Amino acid sequence: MRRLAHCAVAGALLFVMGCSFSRATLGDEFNAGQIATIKKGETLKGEVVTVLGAPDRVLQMNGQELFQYYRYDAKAASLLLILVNFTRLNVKSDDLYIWFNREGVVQDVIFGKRADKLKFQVWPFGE
Amino acid sequence: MSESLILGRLFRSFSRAAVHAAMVMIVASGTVGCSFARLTINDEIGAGDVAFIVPGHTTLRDIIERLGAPDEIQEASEGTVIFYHFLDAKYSRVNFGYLLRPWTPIQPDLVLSTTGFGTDVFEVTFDDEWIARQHAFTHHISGRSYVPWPF
Repeated sequence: MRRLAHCAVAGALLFVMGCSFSRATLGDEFNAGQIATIKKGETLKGEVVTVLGAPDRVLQMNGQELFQYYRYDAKAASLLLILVNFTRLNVKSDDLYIWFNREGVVQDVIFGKRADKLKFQVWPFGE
Repeated sequence: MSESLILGRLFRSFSRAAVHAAMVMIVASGTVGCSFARLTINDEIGAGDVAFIVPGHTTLRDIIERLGAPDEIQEASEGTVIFYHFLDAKYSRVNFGYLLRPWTPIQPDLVLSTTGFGTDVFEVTFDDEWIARQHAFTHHISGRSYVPWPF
């Protein structure tokens, strides 16, 4: 039985011309410990910049100031067979929003982390 | 240039880079008989995922707890708008001429291919109290498949 399995694997490898894995990122990864130091009603705008650096965007919303930080992550994988190729490229982003009140104190922090669920996938069918 | 334009351009440029990378891989895979490729950006959001949003009741916090942080926030004349960007593109290609190559002195190609781009944006508008007022998909495409028949 084992010999048959080995033959099946060897036979399958005859059809494999190659495979590739690639990754691209935009921006630095968020540090959960740094984000945890930002406290609602306590942390000042300057302290946020000291911890996280300058924001990627500064917005004015309903008279409040909003800092946005973001990061993108992309993973691509290909399986190259003799007759058929399969390729898949997945991209996800992490976003951190910090609201400030008129006194420049943090009012709310929203962190959305999607890139940690990003996977290398070869099979393009299904989910 | 406004911040929203800058972010929009950045998102589009990164998305464009991802699409270009996918196209390079697709072209590189063109030497074989069949190719199947897929590009996804963020998780797809469907009508069922946003059914919980009730205009006049649902808050920004409720939406973020269910859908995560948005990709973009913009201030509009009647409030604030948040945007969720996502994309699911499928490509398939069959080269029927590849099967004839062992028996012909030339390398004939008969290529059929299709690409379906399901690029979507889900938008929610809020009032000054961050209560959802309305929501909509800007361009929702369904039924994308890997059928390399372009006719």
